Amino acid sequence: MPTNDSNQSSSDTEIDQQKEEFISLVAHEFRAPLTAIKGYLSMILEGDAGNISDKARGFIADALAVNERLVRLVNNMLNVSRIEKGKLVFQMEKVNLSRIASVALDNFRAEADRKGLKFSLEIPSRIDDLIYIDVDKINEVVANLVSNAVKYTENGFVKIKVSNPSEGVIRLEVNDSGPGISQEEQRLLFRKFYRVESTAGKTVGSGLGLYICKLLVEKFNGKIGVESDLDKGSTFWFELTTVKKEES
Amino acid sequence: MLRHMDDIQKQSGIEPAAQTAEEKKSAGPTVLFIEDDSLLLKMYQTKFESEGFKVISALDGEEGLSAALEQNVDLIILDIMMPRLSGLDMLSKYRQDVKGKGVPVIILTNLTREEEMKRAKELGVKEFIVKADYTPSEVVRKIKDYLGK
Repeated sequence: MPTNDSNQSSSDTEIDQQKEEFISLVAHEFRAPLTAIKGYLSMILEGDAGNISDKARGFIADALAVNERLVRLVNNMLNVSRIEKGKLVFQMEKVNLSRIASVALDNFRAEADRKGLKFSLEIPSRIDDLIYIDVDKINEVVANLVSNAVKYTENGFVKIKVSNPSEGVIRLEVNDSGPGISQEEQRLLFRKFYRVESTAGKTVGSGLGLYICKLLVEKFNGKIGVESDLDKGSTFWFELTTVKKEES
Repeated sequence: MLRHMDDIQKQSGIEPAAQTAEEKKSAGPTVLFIEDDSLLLKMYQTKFESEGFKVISALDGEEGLSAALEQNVDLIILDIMMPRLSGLDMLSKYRQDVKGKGVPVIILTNLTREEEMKRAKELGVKEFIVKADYTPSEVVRKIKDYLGK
């Protein structure tokens, strides 16, 4: 005869499944208009609707950046329970991490320019950066880190840097001149729903981004961390193992 | 029945987008777009045609299946959640026909559930693209890369 505990647990599982199904359907409905907004705005920027003024271009780039924030929020909502339950499906392929970093630089350029930040990417001329990974997921990790840096830095710079700290290891770091994070808060940063106290309420965020970055990087057998001090900016980084062209 | 740009625009009350000279050339590969959201379909169709693709479109799985069996296409771009016949049920029927064995199919959807992704792989889908993660130009680039492989 089943115990109360097992009844409770099967009912919890059922609620969990319903919750996941609900989130999945809601996210799907959110994504359709977000896709249309992103698509049409990007087509206007690419000149598909003819020439537009620089001012209109700036407005559209801003609207696109806000839309991207919503896309990331929906992705984070969808990803979190799936990663925790090991239900996320990965499409693994070989990609150069420098390329992912360049895409992030392009995607956040408009937002960084609007805030007057010096925004740069540093890649050494010789680099071993081929990784075997799900490109969309690593893009999400880099986008989360760069988005945070641009969002929380009011003056100064955001710098993305790709390097080989040791043979067979590739490191991507995002360094900013933002407010910095206390030692105490650094220990809590990668926890689910945690938001840095000094910024909570000032900016939009779910407290899921860094938690998901950690889950994903660790899923790909990498390491993630932060170096920071109050008023001295922050450096968020992750490291992954590289592969050779012929390996997978 | 196949849908063309004008029909979709009439149905949805959408004004046609400004046509450029680029949009009128269509000597490139023929793609069949099966997508039930007419606004998104118009967006992708405009971009793909401006990049030289010939685009045939269908607004649900049943229409898509007829189009896929009647026309010669180089590639099918398929949504999943659609009325009448879902994208994956359409694909399953298509793969049973001799004509549907060799044509590559790319899934372009906003639905990213494990079940659908696994079933898509079993049906021979090589790429699964999440619409909200890519601009139309990026989707075109991915398709060109795929066709160039």
